[in-house]
Amino acid sequence: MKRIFLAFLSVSLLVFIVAEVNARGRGGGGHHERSQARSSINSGHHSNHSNAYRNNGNRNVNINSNRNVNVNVNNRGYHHGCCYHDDYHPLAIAAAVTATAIVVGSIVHSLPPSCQTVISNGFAYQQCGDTWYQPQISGSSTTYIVVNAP
Amino acid sequence: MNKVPKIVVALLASLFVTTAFSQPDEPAIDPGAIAALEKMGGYLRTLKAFRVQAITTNDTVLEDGQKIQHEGTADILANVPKGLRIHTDNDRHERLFLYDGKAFTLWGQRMDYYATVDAPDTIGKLADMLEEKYGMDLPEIDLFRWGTAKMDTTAIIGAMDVGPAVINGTTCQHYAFRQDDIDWQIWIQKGDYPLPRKVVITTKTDDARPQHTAEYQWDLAPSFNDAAFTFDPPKGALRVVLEDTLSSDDANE
Repeated sequence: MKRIFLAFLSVSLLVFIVAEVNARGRGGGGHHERSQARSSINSGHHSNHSNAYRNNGNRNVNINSNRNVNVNVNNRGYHHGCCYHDDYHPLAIAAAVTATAIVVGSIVHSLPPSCQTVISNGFAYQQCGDTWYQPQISGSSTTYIVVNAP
Repeated sequence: MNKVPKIVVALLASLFVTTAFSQPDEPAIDPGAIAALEKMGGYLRTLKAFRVQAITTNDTVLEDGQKIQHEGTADILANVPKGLRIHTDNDRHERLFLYDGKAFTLWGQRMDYYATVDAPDTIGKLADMLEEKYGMDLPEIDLFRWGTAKMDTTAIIGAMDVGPAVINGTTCQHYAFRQDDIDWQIWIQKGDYPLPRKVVITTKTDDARPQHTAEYQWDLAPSFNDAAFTFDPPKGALRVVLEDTLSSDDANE
């Protein structure tokens, strides 16, 4: 009886962890953002340029991650679906993304699994199989641009 | 309906016509509202050191028009003109912006990534450089632009004095402004210290009209030392590049 209980507990825990990882891994529900409120009055660049690349970033990664995420996340009633402004740790999202070949210059919001950090000329890169990503940080997001091997 | 005297109908009709024709095409500009803005800006630029703790909200619009609001904080310490430290925190990301008159560093604690770039010699020039080169606004940058040449009152097409209002116990005067792309409101403290206490910016370029709000708590005599503005990378922090959102757009469009 005790063993059955333990087995049940560990399965529950596993389901919970998978759901959590996937929730953090994003895509849940496929709610993509189209714009954001402007946050200043006296600034010169007022176009919604930042949204353009975010949408492109989605195209690169979301086909796979959405499929993985929705089952768990939506069953739990979660709606973690919007707004690519989170910081994700590469390890936390590993389960959610299945890699596809990506061209140099593409920008993604999350990394495929099994990446390793490589320092070159003082800057950090992520090597994921044959693909190299350079992390870049802004005031509201962290993204990864595909680069040639440094 | 037949019992209503014709004279009443005629009077009502003429009232309607008069009202309709007396509506101005352009919203009026109250010179007093512009003057209050300029007075506030002039006062802000006399401050040599200050700390502002802001509670902010920012709307994101989803593709179907649904609005999602995120709340956050911005803790801003300025030692004009060569020292700036801003810590922002919300559900989505946490950032430390540091500037010491020579270098600018942006550190994302959760990822433990930081980017450092050479910087010009004043906060104002730093803000311009980040905007022009990286497409990046410093948080609550208006606090540093009111009272400078970057404060563009010619963009204002409507200005209204809404009246007195109280923000967090402080008596303020409430003003509302209209520009092409945004409507915005500001609550300015009454009396000898005309500080902005609250700002609401409504973006009109999206039908959903997302808003940014900020409420400010001011400390005009903050204590700090020079180390507050210098970045000393923690062990394990990884240096990355500062995202250039301007050229990323070009590459992807």
